[in-house]
Amino acid sequence: MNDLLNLSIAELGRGYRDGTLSPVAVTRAALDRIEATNGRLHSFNTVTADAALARATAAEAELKAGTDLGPMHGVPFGVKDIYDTEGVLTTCQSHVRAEFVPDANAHSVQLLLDGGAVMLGKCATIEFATGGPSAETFFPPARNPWNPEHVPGGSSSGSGAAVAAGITRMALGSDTGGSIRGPAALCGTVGMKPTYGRVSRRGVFPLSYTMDHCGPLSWTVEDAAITLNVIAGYDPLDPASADVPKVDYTAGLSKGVSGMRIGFVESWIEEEGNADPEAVAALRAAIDVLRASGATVETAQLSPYALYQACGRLLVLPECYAIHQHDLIERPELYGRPTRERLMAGAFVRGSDYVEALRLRRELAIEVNNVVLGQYDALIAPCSVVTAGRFDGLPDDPMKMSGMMTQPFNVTGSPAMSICVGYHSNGLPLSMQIVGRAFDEATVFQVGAAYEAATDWRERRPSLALEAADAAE
Amino acid sequence: MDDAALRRQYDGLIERAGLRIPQDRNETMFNAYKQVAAWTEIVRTRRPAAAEPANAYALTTVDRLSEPGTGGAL
Repeated sequence: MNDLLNLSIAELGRGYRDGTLSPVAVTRAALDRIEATNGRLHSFNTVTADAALARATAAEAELKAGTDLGPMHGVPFGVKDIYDTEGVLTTCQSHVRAEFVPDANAHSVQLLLDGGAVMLGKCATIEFATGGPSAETFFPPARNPWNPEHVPGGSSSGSGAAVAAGITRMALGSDTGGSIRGPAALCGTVGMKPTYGRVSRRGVFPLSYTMDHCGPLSWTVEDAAITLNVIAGYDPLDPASADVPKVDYTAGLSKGVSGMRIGFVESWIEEEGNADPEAVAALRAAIDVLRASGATVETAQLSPYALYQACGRLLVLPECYAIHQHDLIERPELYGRPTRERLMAGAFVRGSDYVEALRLRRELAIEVNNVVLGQYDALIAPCSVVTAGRFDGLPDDPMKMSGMMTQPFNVTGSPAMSICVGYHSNGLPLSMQIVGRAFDEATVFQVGAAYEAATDWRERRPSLALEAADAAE
Repeated sequence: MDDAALRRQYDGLIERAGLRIPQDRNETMFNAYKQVAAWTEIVRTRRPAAAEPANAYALTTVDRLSEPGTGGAL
């Protein structure tokens, strides 16, 4: 795919500044790609074409006049439809919010707009960011561009699909149990969940107050690092926001991993039980790449995955139930079944068990952040140990999480990134997870960039994206 | 705990919460209840009384949302 949409955010920025590329042309190409693919992919719920072209036109004039708002200036992006966007329908994919138009932007959206970025519209999500894809939701569910018969993962489903399909280099997502890293894994993109408190949650519809994280899905590690440079930072109006200095996340991207000590959370693979052998082989091959690049990789000992999962589920369920209980009682028919049933399960958790989970959470956070990451610079863990499932094989069980091993790092709040480690024989992407110390996103990016540079997985795009690119030429 | 006892707990919780579960989804939701019950068994460990939850109440954090001029939510 040799077109404008295959250029990285950094490449777009250079082209804008030397006059060889135009924000208006890039935005038009992105809108054309949405037009060409959305009938099959449904990655966007709402497209703000006029506003995008107006902003791109302004960006072009500003850059020509020497006004430079930073690395996202003139760069198109998508926004998960649970982020508030001023004057733009924000549905959370739900009939419950069919007419909700916010009067202000979510904090991170505002930071991107202040930095001159061009919002293309609202990306599909799993309804209220929990449950599963459903034909009953207000907008149709997004599909996987590698094979539209398969799910793109969730809950940032449209964000993952849009990035993989080459519509945009970056789309915002949110992650409560893996909702950035999951779709990134299943769509073959990068998905960065920063440390809890690193990116403001203000203006993003909550699923779980203590587990929600905001961050980008992007095509490359560098794209994610550039985005985080813009959206990270202290927000006093988010009670969980951390007043911790940030660094330039692009600064260490070319440093490599030579001399690094990395722990491999190997035991969770066997514990999961249903890992696809090709997914496991790709993960082990990725570790070999890191070793060949100069890192020391050893087996790291963490508590069983089941302990992290129980803790995480018992935190999320009552928190989201508290948010939705009135609607679940008064107008349950407005929810799609998978989301309604997942939310209702929050009624099953006793208050004392919620507190026990919070007490366990402190223990697990110390285990990862202090004990294990006291020995290692970063961890490698499985992300999804299966490939994307088919729409006609969706689980009936509202508790099913289908092979995702992401929730532990929502429990601990650690920065964690999903990155593509190749492709299954069925053509679908495979993944691994890179985890860092609290507020050390820089090292996560460093490891990810080293791996990405040593492999050529970024050269491959879904055939659906290639067809759209060919049709545009 | 046997299924009959769990079923009684489940029925009581649904009634107390005021939720309406369609008849054809009741068994699925009961299975979800059993899953939640299994998770609660995992986290129920005798801990010292001083072992605090991860989200200990911090007034300084709450306060910053209500300071004059911040436009905070409180």
